[in-house]
Amino acid sequence: MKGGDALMTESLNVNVDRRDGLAVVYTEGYINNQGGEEIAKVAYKLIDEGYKVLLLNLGGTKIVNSIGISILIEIIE
Amino acid sequence: MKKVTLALPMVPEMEIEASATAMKMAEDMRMSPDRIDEVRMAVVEACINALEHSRSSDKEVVVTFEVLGGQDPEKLRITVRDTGIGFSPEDIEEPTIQEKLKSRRKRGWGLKIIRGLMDEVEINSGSEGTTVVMSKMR
Repeated sequence: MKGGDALMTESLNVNVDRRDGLAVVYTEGYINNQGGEEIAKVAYKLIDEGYKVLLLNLGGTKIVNSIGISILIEIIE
Repeated sequence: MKKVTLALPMVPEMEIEASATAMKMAEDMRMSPDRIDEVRMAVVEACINALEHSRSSDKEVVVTFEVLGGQDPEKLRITVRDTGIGFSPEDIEEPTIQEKLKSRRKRGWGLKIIRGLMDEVEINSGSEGTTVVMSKMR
């Protein structure tokens, strides 16, 4: 994975693939309050690094709760 | 009728246990994968509400799963019961994405999700706790 890094909570694994002007955030596991906050932390770090386009790939996530959805909406904003 | 009851302690991520049980029972009654996912999400939301907001006096949430019907199961009924402080469902404002995008508080989707994903939802709440009964046809 080019420019990739990983961050893992108890139930969620987050990986990042940095490309030219674009970062893809892959999730694996349950997106709840804690998982959503981890995604947000990664997303805000990428924005601070100058990435203007973030792609969120939830293909590895089988379940998201409403708090996780709320945090994803915050990131989109 | 097939019946399973879980007593969930009020610790993080217990809703996943309830979701797994719902999935197993729905699979056994040959519910479609999409409908199973809808049941799982509704169960997660109902359990989170009880686990996080009920302040249940006995420190647990009881979830009962019942497959209704004869040899050809028709319906999965799930009851989530706490002995907490209760709430008034009619006082909960229904969220919209337009309002949530403007608001600082993005949360508050649980009841809408439950009602949207299940075929029947009944909420009884008072000073002795809350019972959510929700059903999904096969």
